[in-house]
Amino acid sequence: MKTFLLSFICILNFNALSTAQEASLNDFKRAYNHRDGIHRFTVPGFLVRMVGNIALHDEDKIDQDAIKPLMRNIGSVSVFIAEDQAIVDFRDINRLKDDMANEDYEPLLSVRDAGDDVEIYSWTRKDIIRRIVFFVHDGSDSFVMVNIRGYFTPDDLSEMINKYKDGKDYKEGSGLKKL
Amino acid sequence: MKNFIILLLLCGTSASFAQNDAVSKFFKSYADDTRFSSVNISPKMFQLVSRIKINDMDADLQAMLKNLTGLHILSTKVTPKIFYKEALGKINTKEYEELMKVRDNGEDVLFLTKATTGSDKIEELLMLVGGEDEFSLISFIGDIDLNKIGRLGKSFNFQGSEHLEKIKKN
Repeated sequence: MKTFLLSFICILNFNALSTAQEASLNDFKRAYNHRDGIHRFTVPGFLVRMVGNIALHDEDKIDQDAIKPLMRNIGSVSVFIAEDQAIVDFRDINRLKDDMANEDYEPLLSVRDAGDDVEIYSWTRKDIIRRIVFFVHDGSDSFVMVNIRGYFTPDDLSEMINKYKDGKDYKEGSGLKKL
Repeated sequence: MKNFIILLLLCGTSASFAQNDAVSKFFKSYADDTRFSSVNISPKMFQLVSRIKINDMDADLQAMLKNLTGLHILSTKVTPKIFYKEALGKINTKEYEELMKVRDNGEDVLFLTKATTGSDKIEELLMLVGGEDEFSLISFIGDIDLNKIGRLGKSFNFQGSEHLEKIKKN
């Protein structure tokens, strides 16, 4: 009985932890949930790996070697799509970013080019990236928000980059020179 | 007298904030303008990148990245000369020291540096490029080594980054 109670408390705490950093994102999604032109779905990690493996099947070996190990660390991916940007009020997006900052999300990068706008935020604990959120404004057409939950250490990212780098070096012939 | 000194200190502080803000105000005023392309890399991103170990990466380059805390890029191909003049007018050149000015193929490239107060350390490198075809404003923030920053020009691939290689070892 004691073990059962302890397990129950642990599960409750885990759930509270996993949703605590997403209150602002969940509130935002909830506010737009039933509007026309809004699509949202969550893909669990095993499905991401399954679909990813199929998608990568026809890709270069370099892509397969680099991306596959990283896919193992994905817990789930949530996607929010507004078909028309006008559906989403930009003030709500700015408020969401403020709320995310209060939840310790930090901006990593923002790029604006030819009307396309991409912003990336992360939520990390002890150098481990646990959440990555992408905001993509596609010209004047759509708004997409992607939330990736997982466990990405600097070593995982190093491995991915080095596999790309080594694969590219090998492809270009410099790998042969090292022999 | 004490109140007067405090007031004087406060005025001094707000004046220095106003100076610091000139460049960021320029960035902010055009960051959402569709005529401009912009890139902002946060301190967190540099912190993450510094922990990634890339095989065969130049140790100097890795150390350089480790010491950077921010990068802002703003560029446009629309009326570049007008924006170049506007930027020159808005940026307080008393705050920055002119490092180098180059005219190359009809393009003016101006490098400005901001040193940490009471030290020779450079905390910001500002690069302005103005020509017939492009205007770019690039600001590197952090602990900057001028002897090594030129190498970033080859590693980064963005409009105007090639001009970084013009910074030669003194």
